[in-house]
Amino acid sequence: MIKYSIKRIFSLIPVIFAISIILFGLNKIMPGDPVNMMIPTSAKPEQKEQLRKEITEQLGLDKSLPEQYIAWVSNVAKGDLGYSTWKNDDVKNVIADPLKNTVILNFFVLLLALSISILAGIRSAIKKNSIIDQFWQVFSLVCMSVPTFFIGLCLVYIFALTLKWLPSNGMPADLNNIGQWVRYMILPVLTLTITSLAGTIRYVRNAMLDALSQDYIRTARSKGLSEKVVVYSHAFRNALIPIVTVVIAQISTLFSGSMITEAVFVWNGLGQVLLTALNRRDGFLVIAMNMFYAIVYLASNFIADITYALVDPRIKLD
Amino acid sequence: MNDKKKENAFQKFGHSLKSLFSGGFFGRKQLNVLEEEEIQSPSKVIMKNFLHNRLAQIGIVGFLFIFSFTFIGSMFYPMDPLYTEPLLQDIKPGRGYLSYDEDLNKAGVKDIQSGATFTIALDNDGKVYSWGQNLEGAFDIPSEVTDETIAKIAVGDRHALALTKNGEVIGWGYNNFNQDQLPFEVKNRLFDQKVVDIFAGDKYSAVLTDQKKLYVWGSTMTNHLDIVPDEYQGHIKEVRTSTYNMLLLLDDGRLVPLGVSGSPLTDNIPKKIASGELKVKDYAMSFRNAVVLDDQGKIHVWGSTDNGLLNVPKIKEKVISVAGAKNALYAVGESGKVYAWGSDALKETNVPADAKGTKKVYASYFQMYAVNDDNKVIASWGNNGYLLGTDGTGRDVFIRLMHGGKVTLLVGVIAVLISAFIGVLIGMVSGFKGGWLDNLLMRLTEIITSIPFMPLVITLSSFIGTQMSSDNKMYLIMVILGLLSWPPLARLVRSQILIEREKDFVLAARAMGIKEHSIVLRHILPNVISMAIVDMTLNYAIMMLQEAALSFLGFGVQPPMPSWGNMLNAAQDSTVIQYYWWQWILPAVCVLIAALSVNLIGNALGDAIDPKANEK
Repeated sequence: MIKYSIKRIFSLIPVIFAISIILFGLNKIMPGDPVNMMIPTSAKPEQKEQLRKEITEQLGLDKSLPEQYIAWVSNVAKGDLGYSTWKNDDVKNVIADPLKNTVILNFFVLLLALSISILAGIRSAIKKNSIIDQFWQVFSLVCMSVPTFFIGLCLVYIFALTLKWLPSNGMPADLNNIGQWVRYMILPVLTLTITSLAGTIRYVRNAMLDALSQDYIRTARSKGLSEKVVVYSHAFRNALIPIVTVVIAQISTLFSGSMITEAVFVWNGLGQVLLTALNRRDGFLVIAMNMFYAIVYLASNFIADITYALVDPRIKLD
Repeated sequence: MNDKKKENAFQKFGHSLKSLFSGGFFGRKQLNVLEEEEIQSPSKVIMKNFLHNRLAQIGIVGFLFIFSFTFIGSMFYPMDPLYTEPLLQDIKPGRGYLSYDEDLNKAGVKDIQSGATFTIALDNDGKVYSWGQNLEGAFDIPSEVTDETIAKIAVGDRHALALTKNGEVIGWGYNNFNQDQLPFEVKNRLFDQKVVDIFAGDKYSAVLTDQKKLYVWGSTMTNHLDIVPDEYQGHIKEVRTSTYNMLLLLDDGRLVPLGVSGSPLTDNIPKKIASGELKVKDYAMSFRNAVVLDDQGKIHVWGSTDNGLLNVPKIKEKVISVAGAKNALYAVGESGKVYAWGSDALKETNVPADAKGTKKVYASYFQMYAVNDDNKVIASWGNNGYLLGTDGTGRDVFIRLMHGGKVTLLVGVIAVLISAFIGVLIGMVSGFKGGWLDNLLMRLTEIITSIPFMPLVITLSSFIGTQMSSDNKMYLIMVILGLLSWPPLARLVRSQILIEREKDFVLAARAMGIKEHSIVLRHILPNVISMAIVDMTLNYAIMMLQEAALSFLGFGVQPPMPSWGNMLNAAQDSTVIQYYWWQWILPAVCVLIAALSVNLIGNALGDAIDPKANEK
């Protein structure tokens, strides 16, 4: 097990290395001069030259490309993600709050989507081709074919603009008021839940159908076990194996997947930060965000692999 | 009984579809019992399974509908991407702007004037009629007007005025600039004068008094029309209005401009007309042009070169009257023929054949009416309305949906083809070759999948495509989407090859001594390719949704080129969501229909290829 983990980690190193080179290259081809953006427009022309020199040195842009790359990578390894020219602050500090907001939002989405899809998926699998099953099949087909933001816009139109029950977008003014948080979160959480249900219900249903068609289910039935025991104790436990791994692998979409929804609801999350950073031509922030996404993805995939092996003793490693 | 009939019709439809596909391609005949028992080729079986699937039939019909709507429809409705019309912004869906009230012809027409989307008419009995689409309440004639006998009417783009027999002015409609009621200052000046005529233009109104004085109010900040020079006051005989200017005919025969000066309209007035040497019998204005009819029956045109308004058609007869819409001018000949020139964007110059025997054309903004000697309306032309409304810059949503759909569908197809080419190639190489090459290629796919798709696409699109033209940006989006979406397909192809390679029929083929390359080409590849086709189909739906999302965020296809995604970009504004539903629901529904049809086709294809998966 440990040997396998170490092997996996080592295989990740070249991937991370390649990603860092790609992202560093992207930063270099970004149009616009980051130094120019940091010089205050109020500065006098002769001051500007001086300032330009200082800022170039401060950002390390006077060195050669490989040197810059090494400096950047070692900083990232130390946890220093760079400097945001848009906010004039360390990237770490800039993304701290949005990171929290995104995680809060997506935590509830995952919770809701998972519980609904497990309940509905099992239902659908047991009563295959029943009306409930067909309803969920159609539901997931439609949800897969509709743009995410359209669901969000429809919810805004109905609940915020027409019925005026909920705010149409934005963040709670008073960050300590839980009631306000709930009011502002309902619509984005609902939007993201509906979109992610499309995939997860299908997945749970198929995993469950797979489990139900196994020989040990027939054995359990022939032993005369009640249907409840067969379904929930025999089939569901086995179906959980692929479900758990998928959930863990979905942790990365926790951070990156809500970008469009955040844009619709002006939710101050990571997606919004990336969009603003792109509009403000804040290269370091953009690259840091992408690097962050990539590392989260690789880490969650790694954990998913390990858990898969842990929960299913039949899996042989090496 | 009824149900059976329906089913029959449906089956017939299915059969005709089937014969369309299989009959044409494979020359398939009706099989007899013995032939039925024979082995059929896998592609035939897949085709049969696919076409017998109800959902697949729905998907095909849906996709054909979308395809013909966009690709064939856009051939019939050409689009000028740079066209804008500020006066027609955010118009609700609706047609019939030109369906005039027949009752009007009973007493005879006295005047017809149109606003941006509606028309108000006055008959010889002093009764007022209105038709077209309501805009800011300008269509709803107030009861004070219907109760009175009306002498004159004046219609602006979004408001209207009526002058009663007693000289009272009543206004209604859009009133942000108070253009619908006489302001206090003007009323004060009118204490010893009587209003004899009323005028209205873009959000402004004017009255002419019996002392030949003109007073203008409303939105005059940009056009300065409220400043009437003293030398003209007391001599004004006739007035014509346009957005930024008025042309006044003075009692000494001079024609003088009012409002913003320095345009070809105000500076290029022919000398003979400006000095009054040439007698003006009739005149009219368009947005930035004017036409004058002299007493010899000849016309003189000047102003801006926009819309070809200076290219007057050859008129061999005497002209009896002239008229001007916003972007077109008209002249009526002695024979009753209507000559029209200028913009045809809203069919302004498309004079119908029934307009023979015309005496006068009533034209203002975008709706035109021809009236004959008996004062009866004989023809109407121009903008008849919008089936699906207009967007925030006055463009027809219906036409943009067709052309935008073309872009969205095309971006998806090209992106899928690029991604399929790379995916299949890489998948096959790593599946067949194995070894270090396989390892390297799989690392490459891992690198690409580990950076989340949407953030990376947006980053690339904004880094590379900053100063690109609308066309190039569209190609860029196709390439980016294609280059980043192949890893799942490559993995599928690779794993499918690994699975198929180990199957018994391959072993059997090998045992029979069939050559290796023939096993690959004839036994393994067909199975892999059919899976790849299913994946491509489902991927196509995803690509369309991605394009929509990208353009919605403003990182995709750039305006003025329409795409369903960038039409949805308007919905970033909550007033659009709340009040202009047709601007965002319609493109989203189009995306939904297209993606749903493609998904249905893809799912049905998958079921047809692998029937076992469906039995689960």
